[in-house]
Parts: sequence; structure tokens; C-alpha cells
Amino acid sequence: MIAYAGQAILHATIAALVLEALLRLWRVQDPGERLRLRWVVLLTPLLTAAYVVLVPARSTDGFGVHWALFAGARWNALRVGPLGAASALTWLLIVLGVALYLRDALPFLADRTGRRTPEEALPDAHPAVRRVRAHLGPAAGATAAPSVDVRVLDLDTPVLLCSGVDRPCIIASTAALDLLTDDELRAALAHELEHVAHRDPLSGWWLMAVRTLQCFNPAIQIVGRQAVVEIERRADLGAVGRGFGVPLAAAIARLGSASDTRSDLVDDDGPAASLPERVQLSAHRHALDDRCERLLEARVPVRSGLSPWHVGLAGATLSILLFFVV
Amino acid sequence: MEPPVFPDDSPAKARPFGPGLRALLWAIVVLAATAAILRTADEVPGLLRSTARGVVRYTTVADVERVTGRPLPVPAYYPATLEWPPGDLRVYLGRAASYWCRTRADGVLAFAMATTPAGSASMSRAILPPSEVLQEAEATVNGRRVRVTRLRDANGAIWRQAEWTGVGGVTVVRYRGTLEELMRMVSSLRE
Repeated sequence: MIAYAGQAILHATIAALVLEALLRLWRVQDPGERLRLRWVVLLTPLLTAAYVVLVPARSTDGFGVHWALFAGARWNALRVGPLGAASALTWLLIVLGVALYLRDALPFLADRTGRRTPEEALPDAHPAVRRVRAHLGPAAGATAAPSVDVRVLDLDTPVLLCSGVDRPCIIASTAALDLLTDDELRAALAHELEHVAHRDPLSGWWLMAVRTLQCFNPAIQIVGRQAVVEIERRADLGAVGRGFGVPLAAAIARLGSASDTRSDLVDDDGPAASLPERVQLSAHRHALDDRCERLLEARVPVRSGLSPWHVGLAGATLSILLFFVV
Repeated sequence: MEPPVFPDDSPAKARPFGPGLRALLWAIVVLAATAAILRTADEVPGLLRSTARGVVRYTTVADVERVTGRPLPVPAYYPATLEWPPGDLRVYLGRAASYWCRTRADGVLAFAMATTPAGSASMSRAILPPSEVLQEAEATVNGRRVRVTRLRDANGAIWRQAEWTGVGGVTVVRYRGTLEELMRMVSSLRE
């Protein structure tokens, strides 16, 4: 089991590095295209499992000596206390992977189990609901409002997000609506409509499923987070493309400064007590500032024309390479 | 207002290959570079431990016997000038095994013995000290056909070696001393 874990971590790490190189060399800047390539890395553990099950000859010493480009077990010749270097590093990376997983999974679970969300949304005739519906059309860049479910909750906590696997809908709270101006609300809705259009809540669940299955694999945890960033960036750029860059930056800054905000627009930092929490908070704020700066620049990368052929080429490259890494 | 685009992404740039071929070439470059880096990294443990690919070093005879699943033969006649237990034990691919011994007086490498499992036709040189063959001859010892070789090691020292194939596989006994002593050790070995 530890051998499979070590190989899965090694494969995912190599795949992530190879993919970063390809993203740069192929000049892939569109987040949707980058997301498709990141999925290739996230599916690497399946390839590892297939190799282990279908090609047992790869596990023999002969393959390791005569065919392998890299055999992790060879590093066990170097000792770190009672363990071989490869085994010791594998255990270290497993601990790191689990820590990275729990860092995101625990808040995710706490959010879903501890929500104080009212069962009933406000009725359609409520002014808050009518305000959201009135801005949906302009947010979508159309005169008529798109057919998207909208739920407005009477909450003191600012909430603005896209939710729902089968039928994605936009959920907003009265507190969030009170915080945002009309321009900012339109921009925020444009961002959420992009999530609806791409069915991002479903992608989010798939990502969490992959991360859960590979909870020991730090490379998968990191690439999973990168994929989430690409998803958000794609939604940002959708809003920027409709001319909402500046108000969206303002909405993100406003929701980010409010306490206890629950929105995919911003990470909820919460109160920071310890030094690591303060460092994390500082990093979040820095990321938020960067994101707002990019929105204010209002630059939309041209699609590089990434085709299924490119994705297949990346997959083939990794499949060939990783076959010879045991 | 139309949002600006990244200047580097301008498709108007003239490039020698089509985008598909360019992507393929970059993928090949990345594949080759990564393979080279991995292959180099794979050599590091061997360089640090002074062992060839596929060779694993052990510290006790019991470890080697556990890995190979067979006992390491020891000559009944064993010069008192040599250390015991051996300080260097090596296994190649979990099959061929060897032990190297030094002299008690000055710690010079002076004896090596290697065996393969039954059915093997040849001995891997990866588990023996590097050497150059100077002279070879055939001899019969205790009814065994033995190939006797005179060798020179990396330091220029002269060794004698006896190698034969029996029912227990290939056996090599290498000694930095007289031919007579080597033959006494070979004669005292039981398969």
C-alpha cells in the first residue's frame, strides 16, 4: 500500500511539473483551457492504479534495473534512521497531503453541516428578490433575465454563491444585497452566472471527490486548489468580458472586508488568533488584492485554441513518461 | 469598451510550424528533458553508495539470506588473515549475492565470493569489485570444471578467481593472494 501511495505521489508530482511546463510552452492562458489540462493531472492516480494492476511486470526488479527511468525504491538504499529514504519521504508527503486535504475539507464539511440557512427563501414578490431578478438580465448581457433559479435568504451573514449539482442556482442573502451597490450586484451576478453556465458546483464536487480519494497525495491537493482558482478566474473573466471588471473588483473587496462572508467570490478568513492563522490570513488578503488588480486591468487572455488533441497529447506524454517511473 | 488582450498572444506572429506541430515538438522536448532529469536522479543513490543499478547493499549475512532465500556459502578453509563477518554484502535484483572481506591487519579488500540461484547461466559483474582480466585457464577441482582467472583490480593489485557452474548455480571465489590458497578455499566449499 505504501508502495502504491509513493508511486501515486511521485506520478502526480511529475505530471504536475510536466503540465506546468506545457502550459507555459503552449502559452495557455485562458483559465477554461488551463482547467482542462489540470484535469489530466488530477486523473493521473487512475493511470497509476491501471499500471499497477494491468502491468505487474513493472513492479519487478528487472524492470526497475533495465527499463525504468526512475525507480523510487532505489532511494531506499539510503537510510534515514530505520527507514529507507524513499519510504521516509513518502510518509512525510502523506502527512503533508493529509494536512492540505483537511485544511480545505474541514471548513467545507463544517460549512455544509453547520449552516444556519433558513429552509424557506424569500417570496418572489419580496423587494430583495425583485432587485436580484432586475439585475440578472444586464448581468448576463441580455435584456431579458436568463432562466436561472434565484434564492434570496433572510440572513445577517453576507452570502452570495452558486450552488446545486443538478440545477445550479444563485443563492444570495439580504445582508450581501445590502452591502453591494447596483453596479457591484450586477457584476457579482455576472460572475455567478458564469458558474451556472459551466455547472461549476458539479465540477467542485468532482474535485472534492478526487481530492478525497487522493487525500494522502500533496500534488493532487495542490493541483486541486489550482483547479478551483482556474474555475474562479474563468468566472471572473466572463464578468470582465461583459465590462464588469471594475465593479466586480469593488464587490469582491466589499464582501472580503465583511466578516463571516460565505461566497465563492471571496474566501472567508475568519478571525486569526495564532501566527500560522495570521500568515494564512495575510496570504488570503494578498491573493484577494492580486485578483482585484487583475480585474481592474480588465485583460482577457485570447484563447490559445487548445483542442482535445492538445489534451490528448498531454495525456499521451504523461502516460508514456509515467510508465517508466516506478 | 472592448477589454484589451495579452500582447504575447497575438495570433498574427509568423511562426515556422503550424500550432499542432509546434505543440507536438514542445511535448517531445518536455518528455525528453523530464526523462533525462529522472534518469540522472535515478543514478544518485548508486553514486552515493558506490553501487551499480539493481545492486542493494546489506549489513548482515542474515539479511542477504533472507532476501535471496538461500544460504551464503562459506569455505571451510578460510584464511585467518581475513575479517569475519564480511563488511560489505550485495544483492543484485534480489537473486545474485556476494560478500566482500578485508584483511584484519590493514583493511585492504582481499576476498570476494558471489553466488547465483540454481539455473542461472552467468554471474552479474555488478556485485563484484571492478577488475580487468589478464589471463584465463581451465582446471578441475574436486571433479568440478573451474575457470581460473588472473585479474587486476582498479588499484593495480593482482587477484585470482575461480568460477564454475554447478547444480546450485554459478559460484565465483576471488582472492587477492596465492593461487594455492584460492584452490584450498575452492576445494573446501560444499554445494
